[in-house]
Amino acid sequence: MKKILFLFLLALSLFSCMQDADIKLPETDPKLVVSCFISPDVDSVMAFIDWSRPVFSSEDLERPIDNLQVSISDGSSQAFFQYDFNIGQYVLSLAEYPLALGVEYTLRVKAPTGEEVVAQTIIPAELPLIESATLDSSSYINNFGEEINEFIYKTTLLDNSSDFQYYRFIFYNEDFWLPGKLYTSIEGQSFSDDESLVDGKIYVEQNITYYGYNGAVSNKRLAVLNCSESYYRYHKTLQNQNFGNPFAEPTIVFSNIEGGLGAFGAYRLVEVAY
Amino acid sequence: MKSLFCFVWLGICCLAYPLQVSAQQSTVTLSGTITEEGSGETLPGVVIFCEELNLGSSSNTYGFYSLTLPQGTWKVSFRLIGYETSSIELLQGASLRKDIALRKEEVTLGEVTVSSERKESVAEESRMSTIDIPIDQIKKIPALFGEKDVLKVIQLMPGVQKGSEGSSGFYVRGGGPDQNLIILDDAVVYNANHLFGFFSIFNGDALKSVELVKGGFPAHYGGRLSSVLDMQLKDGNKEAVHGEAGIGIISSRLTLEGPIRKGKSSWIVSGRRTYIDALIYPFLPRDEKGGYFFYDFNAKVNFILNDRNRLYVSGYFGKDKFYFRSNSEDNSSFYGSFLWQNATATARLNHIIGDKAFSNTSLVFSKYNLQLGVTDEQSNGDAFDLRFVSGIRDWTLKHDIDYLPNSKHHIKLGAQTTYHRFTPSAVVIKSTDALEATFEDEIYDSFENGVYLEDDWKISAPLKANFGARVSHFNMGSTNYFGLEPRVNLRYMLREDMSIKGSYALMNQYLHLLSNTGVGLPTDLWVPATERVRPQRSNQVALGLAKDITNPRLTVTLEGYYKTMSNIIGYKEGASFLSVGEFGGEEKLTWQDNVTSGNGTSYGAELLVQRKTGKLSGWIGYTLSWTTLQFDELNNGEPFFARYDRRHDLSIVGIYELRDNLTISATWVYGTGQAITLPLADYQTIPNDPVNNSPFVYPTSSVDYGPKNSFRMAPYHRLDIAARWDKKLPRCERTFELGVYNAYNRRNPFFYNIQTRDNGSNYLSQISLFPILPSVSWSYKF
Repeated sequence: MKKILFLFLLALSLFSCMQDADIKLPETDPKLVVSCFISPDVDSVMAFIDWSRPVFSSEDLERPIDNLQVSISDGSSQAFFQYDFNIGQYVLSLAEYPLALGVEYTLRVKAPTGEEVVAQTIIPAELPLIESATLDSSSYINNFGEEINEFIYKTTLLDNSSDFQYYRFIFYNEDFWLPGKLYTSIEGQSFSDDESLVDGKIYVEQNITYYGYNGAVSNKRLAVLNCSESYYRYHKTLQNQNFGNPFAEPTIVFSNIEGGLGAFGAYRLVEVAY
Repeated sequence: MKSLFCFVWLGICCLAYPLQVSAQQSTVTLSGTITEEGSGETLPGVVIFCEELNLGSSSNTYGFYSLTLPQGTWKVSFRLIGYETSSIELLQGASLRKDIALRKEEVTLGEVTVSSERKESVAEESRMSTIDIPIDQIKKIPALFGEKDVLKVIQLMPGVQKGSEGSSGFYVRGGGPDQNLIILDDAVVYNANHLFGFFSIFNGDALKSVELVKGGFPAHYGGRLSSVLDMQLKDGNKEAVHGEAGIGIISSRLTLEGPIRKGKSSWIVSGRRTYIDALIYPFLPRDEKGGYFFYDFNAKVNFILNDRNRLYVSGYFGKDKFYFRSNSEDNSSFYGSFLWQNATATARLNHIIGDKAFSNTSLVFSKYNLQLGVTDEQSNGDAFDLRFVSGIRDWTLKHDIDYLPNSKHHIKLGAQTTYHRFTPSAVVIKSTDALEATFEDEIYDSFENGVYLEDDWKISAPLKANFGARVSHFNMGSTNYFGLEPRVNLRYMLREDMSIKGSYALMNQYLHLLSNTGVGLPTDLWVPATERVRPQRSNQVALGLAKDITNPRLTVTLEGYYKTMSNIIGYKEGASFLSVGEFGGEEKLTWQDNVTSGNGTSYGAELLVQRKTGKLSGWIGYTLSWTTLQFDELNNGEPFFARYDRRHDLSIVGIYELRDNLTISATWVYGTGQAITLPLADYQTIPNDPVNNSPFVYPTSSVDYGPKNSFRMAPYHRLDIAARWDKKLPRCERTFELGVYNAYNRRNPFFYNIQTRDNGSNYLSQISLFPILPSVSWSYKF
C-alpha cells in the first residue's frame, strides 16, 4: 500500500512544488494552560500550569511556571495554592480550605507579566448512585500460546437528579503488572452523560482483556465519578485526540479557562471492589 | 409499506390516464416527436409556439411534444436556438400527430451559434436556479491537460464551488459532494471521479445534454439535498455511421455511432483510456512494475419499436487502478493494488399514451465499489494478504408520465423504487502467522421509494408556477422514514423581458457519505440512514430576478438563497475512515460509532451574466456566500465555517470566434481560500487521576487549534487560455487545440505543511500542484 501511495505521490510531485506559504500567519501569544480538578473527597487539590508554545513564534518559548499566583475563591473566602517544586504543580491542602458541595468556585491564575486567566466550576452535590455492579470473566489460550483473561464489567447507575449529569467510569486493578495502584489506561475508561439515560438509569458495559498474563487478576475495582460538565468535556476531547492518523479529524480540546487553555473541573467519586 | 406505495401510485395513474382520452371536441391537439435532421437524435427543449394565440409548449427530455389549441387554422412554429425554425399549418378538424425534424443552422461568422439548448427565454421560465451547460461550449473552454470535463465547467457557474486544485468535486450552495444527485441516463453515479478527482468520468463526446439544478427543485427530482446534475447520453446517429477520435496528453478517446436499421434504430459506443502506465512500463525495472490507468466506456442502443414505443438501453463502465508488483531474487514477492469502479445500466421504454400524454419506464442498475488489496509473500513461506472492500449497489424501477391536458398545464407524475445494498467496509486478513481475521460490516439492504406530482401551470400571462410535491419513504429493516416534500416555483413577469422568481423546496436524503477530506475521494464511504443516523433534510428558499437583454443578447440572473440542512454527518473528532471496522481492538467499531450528526446553514447571492450566442460568448458568474455547520460533538458545539465556505467566488469565461476556423477562449477564476484548521500552539496538560490523586502523572501533549476551520488558505486564482483550429476536409472535420493551464503560473496552495528551520523555528510551507501547464490535443470527426 505504501508503495502504491508512493507511486501516486511521485506522479503528483512531477507537477507539484513546495515553497514558503505567502500568507499572513495567525498571531498568537503564549497562553496560560491550567489543569485543575477539585473534589471534597480528596486531601489536597493540585493545579498543573503550563504556558502554550505558539507554533509560529520566534520568541523564547520557555516561560517560568513557578512564579504564578494561583487562587481559589467561593465568593466569600479565598485561598492560594503553593508551588511544589518536587512535583512541579501548585497544591492546596483541603484541611486549610475545605470545599463545600454544590458551591461554585472560581480559580484565578495571574502571571507577573500581567496575563490573567479565570475559570469557574461547581462541585456536584451528590455522589453517583450505583444500583448494581457485576463482573463476568473468562480465559483462554490464543494462537500465540498466550493466556487471555477477559473481564466484562456491567454497571447500572441511577440518575434521579433533575440536573443534567455527567459520569466517568474507571475500571482498574490495583496490583496488575506493578504493585500499588496502576494508572488507568484509556481502554479502561468510559464516559456517559444524561443522553445515555434509559428509564432513569445508565447502563455501562466495559470489556477489558489482559494478554499474556498467566495468573489470576485480583483486586479489580471500579471508580465512578459524578463530574462537572467542564471535567467531562475536557477529558472526552482529550481522549479523542488522534495524532497518529493523518486522516483523522483534528480534535478541538475543550477549555473553560477564560483567556487561556485547559480546564477547571470538579467531581465526586465512589469506588466498587469486586 | 411497499403495498401502500403501489396503492398510491395506482390511484394516481387511474386519475391521470382517463384525462387524456376525455379531450374536448372544441380543441385540437398537435403532438409528436422532434428530432434532429440527419442524425435522428431526439431534441429536448424545443419551443412549440402558436403566435396568433400566444400559446406554446416545449418538448420533453425524449423529444415528445403536445400542444392543445382551440379549433381553427393555425400556424405553429418549432424553434430551438442553433436550428432552423420549422413551421406547419394546423387545419381545422381532428388532432394531428406530426413528427418534426429540425435542421441544424449553418454556422457563419458573425452569427455564430454557440448554444443549442435554450427553451424559453430566461425571464419566461418558471423554474429558477437551473443551468443548462451546452456541450459545444464545454468543448471550447480550456481544460487541464486539454481533457474536456463537464464537472470542471459546472464549477465555473455561480453557486457552485470547486474543491481543491484540479478536483472535479463540486459543492452547491453550501452542500457537500454527497448532496449532489448525479444522474447519467436515469442511473445514479456514486463516484464521478477519475484519478482522485482530477478528472470526471463523463466523456463529453458521448453526452447529449447536461443540466444542473441548484434549487427550486421540481418534484420529479428527489433523494439529495443540494443539486441535481442530469446528463443524457447521445442516442446514436440513425442515418449514417459517424465517429470522433481524439488524442491528448493524458488519454485518447474514440466515439463511434451509426444506424442498426436506418431511421429506426441506432447505436453509439464511446471509450477513453489513459496510457501513462503503458508508456512508462518499458522503463521500469523488470522486477518492479507499477502504474496507474483509468478508462471509461459508454454504450447505447435505441430502437423505434413502432409509432408509440421506443426502447433505449445504455450503460457505462469505468475503472481507476493503481498497482505495484515486485519480485525479488529470493522468490519473495509483493503485489498491491487500489482500484475503484462505477458501472451503470439503464433500460428505458418510452410510450406515447395518446396525443397528450407520454410515459417512460426505466429499469436501472448502478454500482460503485472500492477495493484495496495487498499480498506479501516471503521466501520462507510466510504470507500476508489483506483485502478491503467498500461499495454500494442499486436496482431502480421508475415510471414517469408527462401529461399536457391543454396549453396551460404540463403535469408530471411518477413513482420510483430503489433497492440499495450498502457494504460500507469489509476487511479480510489472511496470514501464515496464524492471524486470520475477517471483519465484515453488516450488509445494509434498504428500499428508497418516491411518488411525485407536479404541474407547470401558466396561471395568467405574467404569472407562471411550478407546484408539486414528492412523498418519499426509506426502509431499512424495521426502520422506516417518511417525508412529504413540497416544491414551489413562481415567476411573475415585471416587463416583457424581466421577471421576478421565487422558490421553496424541502428535500430529504436517505444516504450519507462519510468523508474525512470532504473532496469526494474514492475512500469516502456511502452509508444509509439508520435508526441511529437519521436522514438528512434541507429547506431552501430562493428569490431572484431574471432579465433578457436583446442588444447585445445577454441573459442576466440575480438570485439570493437561504438553506438550512439538518442531520448531516461527519466523523467524530479523532476518527477517520481507517477507524471504521478497526481491527486489533478489543471491540470492533462500526461506522455508526465514528460519526456524529449536526446542522448546516448556507446563504448567499449569485449573479450570472451570460451570452450564449454571437462572436463573443461566455459568462461572468459571481457568488457571495456563507456556509456554517454546527455539530454538538465537534468544535465543542460551537458553529464553524465549512471547509468549502467561500466568501467570494468569481468566474469569467470568454469564447471568441476569431475566424471561421479559429476560436480562442479563456477562463479566469478567483475564490476565497478554503477554511482549514491550523495548529496555533502546543502545550502540556495533565488529565485528572482521581483513583490515585497522584501528582506523578505524565503530562499529555495537546494542540491548540483555535476554533475549527478558523484559518483561511490563500485565495485561489488562475487563468487558462486555449486556441482551437477547426478544419473542414471533404469527408471529415479536424480540430487541433493548444491550451495553457494556469497561464501566469499562480502557485495556488493545495495543502499546507508545518516545517522546522535549522534554528528551530517553524514556518508554513505550501504544496502547489499545477504550475503553468501547456497542453495539446487533436481530434478528428467524420
